[in-house]
Amino acid sequence: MNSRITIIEDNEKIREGFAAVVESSGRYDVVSQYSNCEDAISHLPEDSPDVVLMDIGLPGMSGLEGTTRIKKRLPGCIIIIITVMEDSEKVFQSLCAGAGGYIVKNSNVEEIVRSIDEALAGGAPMSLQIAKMVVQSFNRSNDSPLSARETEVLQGIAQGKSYTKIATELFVSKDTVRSHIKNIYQKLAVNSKSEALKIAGNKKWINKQW
Amino acid sequence: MLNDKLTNYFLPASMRYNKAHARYDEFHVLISSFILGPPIMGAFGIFLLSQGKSLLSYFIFAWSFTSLVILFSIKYFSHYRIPMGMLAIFSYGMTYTFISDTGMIYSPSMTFVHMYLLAGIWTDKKWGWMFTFSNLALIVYIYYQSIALGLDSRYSATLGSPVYVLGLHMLFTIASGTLLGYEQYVQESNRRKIKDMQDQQIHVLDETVKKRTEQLNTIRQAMAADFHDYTGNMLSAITRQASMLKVQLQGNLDVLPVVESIIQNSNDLYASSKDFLWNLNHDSDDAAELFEYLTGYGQAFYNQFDISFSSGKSVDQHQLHQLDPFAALNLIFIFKEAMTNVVKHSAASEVELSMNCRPGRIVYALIDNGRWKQESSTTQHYGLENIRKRSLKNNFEFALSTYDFRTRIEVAVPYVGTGDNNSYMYE
Repeated sequence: MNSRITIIEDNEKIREGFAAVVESSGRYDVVSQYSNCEDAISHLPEDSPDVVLMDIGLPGMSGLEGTTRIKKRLPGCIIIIITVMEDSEKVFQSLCAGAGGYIVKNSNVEEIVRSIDEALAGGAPMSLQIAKMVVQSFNRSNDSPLSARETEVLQGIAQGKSYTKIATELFVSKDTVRSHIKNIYQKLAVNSKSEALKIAGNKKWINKQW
Repeated sequence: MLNDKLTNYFLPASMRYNKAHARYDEFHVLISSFILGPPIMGAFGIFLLSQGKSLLSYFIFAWSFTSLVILFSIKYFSHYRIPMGMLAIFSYGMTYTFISDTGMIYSPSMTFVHMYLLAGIWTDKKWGWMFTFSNLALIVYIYYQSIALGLDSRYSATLGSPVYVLGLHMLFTIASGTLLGYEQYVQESNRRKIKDMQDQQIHVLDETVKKRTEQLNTIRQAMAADFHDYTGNMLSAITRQASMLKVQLQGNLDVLPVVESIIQNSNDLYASSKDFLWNLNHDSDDAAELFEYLTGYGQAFYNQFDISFSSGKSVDQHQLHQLDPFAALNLIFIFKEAMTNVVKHSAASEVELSMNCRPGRIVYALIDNGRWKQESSTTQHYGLENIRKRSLKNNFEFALSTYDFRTRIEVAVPYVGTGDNNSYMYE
């Protein structure tokens, strides 16, 4: 059975483009498309999506708040942020709010489908800058919820190593690295409250208004 | 030159080579005066000692010694009032001995008393005028000593009565003390006014620069926001629509390359806009920040392939200097090209990005365990050619080397202040 996907994006052309790309994979069904979070949340019970592709800068309720609300109502739903800049502070805040990964809006067809596959199967990609913010977020708490292996993976990413390099150094497969990243995302959302957002506020990743 | 060195040596540490310090002038004048004093006066002392004028020579040696004390007191304690008081006592002792030997109130050496007033006011701009009173006291004392010694009866017929001579000396002291003291006061007051005006102008300039910087930041952020809201979304929309078209046109080999070209162009524009925005929004002249950006790019890029990528810098933060702001964008283009070439041509399985310093330059290098396609006259390697041209145009030193089954591309960038970094250009 195909996974159910909802797309929330205010730009109609991008929204339809994403829908076409996702449908073309044959593995996913786009069950609904919305231009704002409010409509998407009101239709959540009947849509019952497995994955939500969410824009951050939406009119009305922001993608960040939308992520929090959807995760509250559908904890098993994976929310993937679609963004122009993958290193923005808003992306990190969305991850803290419970998003399971992010996709750059300009990604090609294969990348989009792969990112959704990865988000469902293992960890979605994590960039160096996001990894650094995540490291700081966990450093703030006295009891880090990360396992020793997860910490090693996170540190590797924050040092700029590729997944292959990390996998080679830790004698594991790339899929295992991705699986650790998924756990890191999940623990970040549980662990981070206002503290993590404060850290992001002190950084200057791209623009603060994003 | 030597005087400058000595003066700086005796200046308190906080004022050394710091002409902007509020008390720099005051200490500078004092030190430069007292540096010359001891050797000159010492020569007088030796001569007078050889002539049997022991008391006078002792006063002179004491004066010279106290001058040295003043210099070291200034150097270590930024203080000179107490030793200066001692010096005044020795000066008066010296002057009085001279005068008592040569005719008291009628002595030509009375000129020393007036010279002392001039020197006092010139050396101590703030309190030097007070020597007027001590001088008056000395003159009156000399007058009474002259009477006591009965000199008035000997010289009054030819040189005038002692009251007349006393009056002249006192009036001269009061007149010169008042005039010179007032002159110093006016000069100090003007100096303060000029300094206040300079401070005010600096403050206005500071405020203007601050305001301009804030405006520039706002413009930068607005540009970045515009890109995000409009250009970025529009480019994404083009890519998305072209991607849809590509799916629908599968099998149409005439049109498909055009669609793919649209997607490629849109992606290239998107990527270069991202680099441009980073350059605009970050401290792109910071060598370490640029290195991190390149590392981030390399990591994301090589994650698409089975290639081990890592980075390392063998340089301390304090060794890093500022790059020209235009250098960063050119380096990003160069290393993106190099990273792509590694995947396309070298068949490498391991890649490392590194940064280190050498005098005047910061060196960025990409090392892989593959072999790059050799350049030849018949088959030109466009990637390498582009890198070479861009390096040449921007005054970077470019080197490609192979060793131990490894290939190393190295770009050495001059940092700001080395004098040969003024030719950065966009292509």
